[in-house]
Amino acid sequence: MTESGLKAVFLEERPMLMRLLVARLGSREEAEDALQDMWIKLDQLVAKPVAQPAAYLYRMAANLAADRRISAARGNARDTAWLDSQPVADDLPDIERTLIARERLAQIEAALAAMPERMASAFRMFRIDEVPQKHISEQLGISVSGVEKLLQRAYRQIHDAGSTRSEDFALQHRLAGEED
Amino acid sequence: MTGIGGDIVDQAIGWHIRQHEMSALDWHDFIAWLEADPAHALAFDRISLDQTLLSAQPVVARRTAPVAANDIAETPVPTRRRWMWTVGGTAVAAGLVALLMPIALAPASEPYWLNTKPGQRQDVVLADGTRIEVSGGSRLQLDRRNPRLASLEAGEATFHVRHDERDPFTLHSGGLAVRDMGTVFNVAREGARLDVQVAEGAVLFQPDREAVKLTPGLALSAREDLGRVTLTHVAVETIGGWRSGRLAFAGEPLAHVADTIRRLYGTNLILDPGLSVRPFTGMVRLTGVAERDVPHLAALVGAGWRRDGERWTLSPKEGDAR
Repeated sequence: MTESGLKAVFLEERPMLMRLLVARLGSREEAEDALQDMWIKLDQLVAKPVAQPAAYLYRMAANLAADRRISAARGNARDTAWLDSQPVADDLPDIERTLIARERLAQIEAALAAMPERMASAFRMFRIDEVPQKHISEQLGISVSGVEKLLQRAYRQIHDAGSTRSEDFALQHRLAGEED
Repeated sequence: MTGIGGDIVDQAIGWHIRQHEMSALDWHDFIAWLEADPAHALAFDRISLDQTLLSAQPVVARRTAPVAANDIAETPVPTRRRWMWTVGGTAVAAGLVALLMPIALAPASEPYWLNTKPGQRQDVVLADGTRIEVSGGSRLQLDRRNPRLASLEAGEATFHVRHDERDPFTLHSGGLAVRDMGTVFNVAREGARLDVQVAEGAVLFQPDREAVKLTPGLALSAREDLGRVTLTHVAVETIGGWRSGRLAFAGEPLAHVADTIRRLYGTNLILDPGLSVRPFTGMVRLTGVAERDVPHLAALVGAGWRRDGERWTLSPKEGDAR
């Protein structure tokens, strides 16, 4: 699969990529923007073979959507500061708008710390070191489905740790407000 | 906001976990699932936000992968994974895919190191017209194939970037990055600490993550080990002051001041114990001639000095050491 081949697949898959982005971003306009970004990024990639080009493109779109969602969430997370801003924060609206939810992160880290060792290490390997599940199963000496169950529970504990999370960060999904 | 059923959350988690391994058909199913119910999309969005937040967090990452930020310094050729990050957030996807399938989709790169000795200085002009003034004791990685990419692993440099909106210049340092938006900026790296000061234009700190915009006169100091970022204002004319021998410090321990002087001029300057943690605020004008600079610095910080050949030592004044 060459670079132009990847672009050809992009054009073929465009309607489905669009649906994915609309579903994730809740806005046609933003989905169009994200598709445009994708096209540009495809330009920056060098021609090398891709085994599953369509799946690759979906992943790329999903990652772009995730990045856009976190930027949007940060734009709304006003009082949860990641930056230890000095008193200058008042005159830095730009920076204030991009503050990340430190509070939420603290909740997540607490959830990680509270996990059984095995679960936490499976999660860290998977999410942070990007180790495939098969390798995790070898390292922990359990089956692949066992790894998947561990991961599922780990994600769930992280999710539930936020049951009292600030509404600032857990944004209303824009689908609700943007029906047309 | 709280009405999402547990089943939906578990389904959303399942989709998130499987994402690296999904075929095109799986993706079609996933899209249909997302579209089926706004609660599905909302549940997935929450999971995704948490996970994105987590992977953007240097502290958490460091705990399990302490070498990730440093391995590049040990080897002349960067790992693929590191350079994967350079084309933006999407590149993470490429990195994941590369792990799972026999593919390699990386930007062409032909990196090389530019190392300066303490006391040495070097000006580099890249193919695109960008000029970099590199101070002593610096390790800067550049790329012959891509002049829009650099990585400062140690030391300090002032960047005069030729701006191109379509192809922004990105400077990496450890796990952090800044991207120019039409810019003159100074960057210093010391261990886990990264300082960025903008003199003209603007830069984006962590362009693919927090994307904090820094404008002229802003100074950012990030501690990768602590996951902490501090913002302060600085006088624009002091930025990159090392180039003219004017060094400004704001509450920095003297050890840092001495390190900086050693790096910039190669001066063999030593601090007596007790002095190194003493904070210093002010501007020092230096000439690079130790005979002038060391007594000047000593007077400024209220310390005594002595010389032993090429070796200079600052010590607390009599009666000062209690």
